[in-house]
Amino acid sequence: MRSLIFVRAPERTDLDHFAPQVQKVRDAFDRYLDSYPIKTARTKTSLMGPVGKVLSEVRSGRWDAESLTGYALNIHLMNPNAHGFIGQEAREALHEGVTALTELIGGVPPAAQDRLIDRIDYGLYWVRRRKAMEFMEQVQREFADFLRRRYQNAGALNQAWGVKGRDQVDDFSRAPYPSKRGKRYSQGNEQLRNDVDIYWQERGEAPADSEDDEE
Amino acid sequence: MQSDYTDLWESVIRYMTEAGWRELTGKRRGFEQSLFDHCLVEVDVFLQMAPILAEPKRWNLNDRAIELVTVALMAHDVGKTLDEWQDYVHGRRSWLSDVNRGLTAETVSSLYTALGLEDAAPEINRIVENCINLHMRHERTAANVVTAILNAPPTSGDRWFSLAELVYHIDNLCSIGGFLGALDYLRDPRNPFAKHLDSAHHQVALRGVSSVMLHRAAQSAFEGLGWGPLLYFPEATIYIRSKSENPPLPSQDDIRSQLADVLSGSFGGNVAELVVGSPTATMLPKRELFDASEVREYLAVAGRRIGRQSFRKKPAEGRGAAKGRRQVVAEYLGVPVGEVDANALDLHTGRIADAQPEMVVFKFFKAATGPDFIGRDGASIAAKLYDDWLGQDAWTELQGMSTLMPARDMRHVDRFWNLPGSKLGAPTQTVEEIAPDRRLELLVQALAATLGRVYSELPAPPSRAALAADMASSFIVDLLAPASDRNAMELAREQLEAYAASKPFMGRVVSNARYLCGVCNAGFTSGTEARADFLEKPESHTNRAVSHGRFGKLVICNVCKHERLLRQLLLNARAQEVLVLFPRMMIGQDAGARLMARATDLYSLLYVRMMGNSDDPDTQISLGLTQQIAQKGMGRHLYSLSPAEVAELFSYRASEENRRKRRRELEKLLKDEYGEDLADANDEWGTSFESWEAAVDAVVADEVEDARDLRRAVYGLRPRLGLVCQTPNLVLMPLADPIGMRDESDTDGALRKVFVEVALALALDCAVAVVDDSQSFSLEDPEGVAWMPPVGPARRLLGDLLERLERRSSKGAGSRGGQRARLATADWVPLVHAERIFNAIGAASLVSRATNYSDRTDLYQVLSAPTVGHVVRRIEQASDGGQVAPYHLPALRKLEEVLA
Repeated sequence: MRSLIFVRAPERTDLDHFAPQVQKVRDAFDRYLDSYPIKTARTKTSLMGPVGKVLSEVRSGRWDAESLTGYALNIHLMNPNAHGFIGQEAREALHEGVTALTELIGGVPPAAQDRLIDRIDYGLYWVRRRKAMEFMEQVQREFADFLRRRYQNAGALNQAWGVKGRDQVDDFSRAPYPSKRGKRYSQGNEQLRNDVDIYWQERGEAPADSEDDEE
Repeated sequence: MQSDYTDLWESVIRYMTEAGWRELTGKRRGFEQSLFDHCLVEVDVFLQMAPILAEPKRWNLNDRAIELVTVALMAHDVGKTLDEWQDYVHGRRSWLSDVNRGLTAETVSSLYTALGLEDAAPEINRIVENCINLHMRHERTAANVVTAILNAPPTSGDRWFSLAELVYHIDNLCSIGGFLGALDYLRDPRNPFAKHLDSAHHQVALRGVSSVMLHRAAQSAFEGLGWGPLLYFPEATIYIRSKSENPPLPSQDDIRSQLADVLSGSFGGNVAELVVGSPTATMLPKRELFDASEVREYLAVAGRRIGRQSFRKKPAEGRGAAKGRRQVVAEYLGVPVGEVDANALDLHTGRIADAQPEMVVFKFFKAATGPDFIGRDGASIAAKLYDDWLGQDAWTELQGMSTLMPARDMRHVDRFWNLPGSKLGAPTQTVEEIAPDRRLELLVQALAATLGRVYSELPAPPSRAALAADMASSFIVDLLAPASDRNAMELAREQLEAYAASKPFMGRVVSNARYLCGVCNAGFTSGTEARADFLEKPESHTNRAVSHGRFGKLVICNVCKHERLLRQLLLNARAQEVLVLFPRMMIGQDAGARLMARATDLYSLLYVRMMGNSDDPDTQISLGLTQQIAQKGMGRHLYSLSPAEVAELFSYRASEENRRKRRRELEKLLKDEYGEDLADANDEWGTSFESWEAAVDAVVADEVEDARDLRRAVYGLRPRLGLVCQTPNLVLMPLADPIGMRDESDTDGALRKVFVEVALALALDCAVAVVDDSQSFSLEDPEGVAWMPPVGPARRLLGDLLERLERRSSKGAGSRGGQRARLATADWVPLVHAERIFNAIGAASLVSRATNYSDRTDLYQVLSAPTVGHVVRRIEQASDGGQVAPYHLPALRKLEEVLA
């Protein structure tokens, strides 16, 4: 009789086991992206900025933490909106994230690395997208308050903006997001455009709806 | 409960609800109870015992003592409200006593006021504190007892300790996971109860709907002898009465007799739909339900089994083996197909089509007079009467009618149509000239009269009265206690023999056979072939073919047959699934009554909607529309939902388009019915509508009684679920439609079921399971509140979600591998994570459509995504604008709680 051959199949890596480290990487990158100039882009690539590139490059295993941080910094500074600047806190957060990431990847079996990076990537993407949506919700609420102060009732607003039918605002809580790129703005009357402009002036920052093109 | 304590009882419920105890875990040791359940069952047990314990020769409790013990029992586990203790019970930290003296003192000082009782004197509060602080064995150290003695008011003597003993023993009694243990505790002479109380129990082997009836019958028998229910378990009830010599116990015969009464009381309703089968299969599938007094209804139902358009819709020419109308007409006329010209085809198509309902009525008459049903003598009487009516050899010709064969059957109908109209009191020359509807009515009338005469000459006309007694005799085998003593060895030997002897007969229907029931595994000699009407896919119901060879037919025992028959009788349709509500391990009498009342209220509210007993038949109910339920239910506090709010969750209003469509359909049917003549309709209804629009409005609003059948048909108003609620042991809701969407995977269906189970379990304070019609009701003791259907991928997914929730709850502290592993393979969703699981499934349903995953598996796909980011990307890629809509944000946030 032939000798029995015993083979021990490797156990599938439980990614939940790395949840704290994954969270640490995400938190660091998230802190960095908080000061990244693009916050509400349409595409994933734009929203993730240099972090997307980092996550892509780290798969190759060719980079150490320092050089990968340098690579990411370069991408950051190349963005016209960054005006060649990155704050100290953001720089540290980026470095912390890259370091934690390379350490984490080094301790994970190669077969599980892609899944782990995927988890960091999409988990972070959700955090950024959620923040973007929350930011836009906040702006929309503020704009509604701004309009309520100016017009008191929805009828007066609709009359001033000259909107009818589906474009009418029934209730201030349903006021549109004050976009400067949408049809509503470009085809709206002067009063509408004025209101949007004044709102953004009062808010003291540029509207966050045109960032994709500027990457 | 004595009515004097009703206010106190209500106050206790209100206090614990407001304190959020329904959400906290109280017991988790082989079974799971919320802190609310656990404290309530103890208060309940005490208040049931109180009248006995108040007797002077017993504990001589006065009202103040009863109040005090009630308050102490309600608050005895106040230490479990601490986060640290909740962490301990969920395995997130090391042991922690559930007695916290500081918290006890703080809580007790305000309890009397909070419960609306007269302000407690400080001495009373000190006794309550002692009762709480000494309710655990490990807290009864010498130092703690001395502290309690010093704390006790001197005026109370040692009475305070008696009351503390009561709290201690009731807590022990209600902490035992099983009725046999609880019974032993009550009877143990070392404990105080045995001296003052007699205890007894009944136990049932759970089978299904019949078990509910059996529980009711047993309880009635016990109550009839002066016993009062103390604790209900799904399979048993414990009773008590004041101690006496030789307390009487009901016999099996007493319970069987009660069961027959309970069963006959639960029949009723319209069973004609069940009695009358299909013209293409068996016309009399459930002859046990046949009652001679209802033949007219049966014949009328038979006349509705096929429409007059059915034959008209067939193609003129045949295709393959399928005959066309021309072939049928040729066969009927006895001429070659080529000789049937267009005129003949049209003429006889109309005649045959109009005659088809009458053909089915004749077929039912044949089945109702068959010698196998009413015996040879009865059949001879029927034959004579029939021949006298339709002419010689009519009976013989009738016997030749089998499944629907229009050409052959038409020749038989011709005998009827050729009769002079006067024979049926019609002013026409022949019966054929009478309008089809009226003719059908007259046929039903005539055959009902004939059947009446036949049955009147039978010594025992078919009757349903005997069915209840038959069923009771069948179901009594499930009563395990009280029961005649049976030798377990002998029982095992009989079962082994039955197994061996049944092997040659498996899968076949033969005489003198011995079988093993394919549903309950009992041995039997006389049973019934299981049809699809009784079991889903009977040919593949069992996997015994592996050991027994090919399975042609499955034979089930009469007990299982009666069980299925009973389900159908209660629902008037085959139950596809059954919602089982049962106590979280145990429940007391008053909490049980509360559960039953809430279930009944919920059912009544749902019934109004499903039967359209309101002015808005467009509002319907569905347990499977997860998305709509989630829209209304997410963000709500499930624990505080009233039955009305739960009913609202499960209700939906048809879309504007469907509402318009149904209204148009109703208007068309009304106009067809009255030949577009509103005056006719007004005459018949006794109304004076000026336009069809006004008439339709009134019919929709259910204001026209005579148009209710049409309204019911158009709006699909029918019972979609039933309620079988007799005792708190088990409350069943048989469902006519499965929870789940058409063509959906079993996995998504299982997730929808868990979603409904959690909503009901949290709102009604019970454990809930949805079981398939053919699944066993004997589930393991509920270690949670919602049972996960046995679908591998769904259980694995829910296990992963629970494990992740547990990991997050522990916030990375300590080692809880065992606890997480247990959750990952659990059969039940535990209370602590139930609401999050509800929210997760609800959130998945809200975004599933936007993800564009397959409808078959979209819920599973969303919930098994590695991160919320994956779901977001999927939505972005599937949407036209490439963005996630803001209204998805709340659902995505909920998903974040369970995804990585």
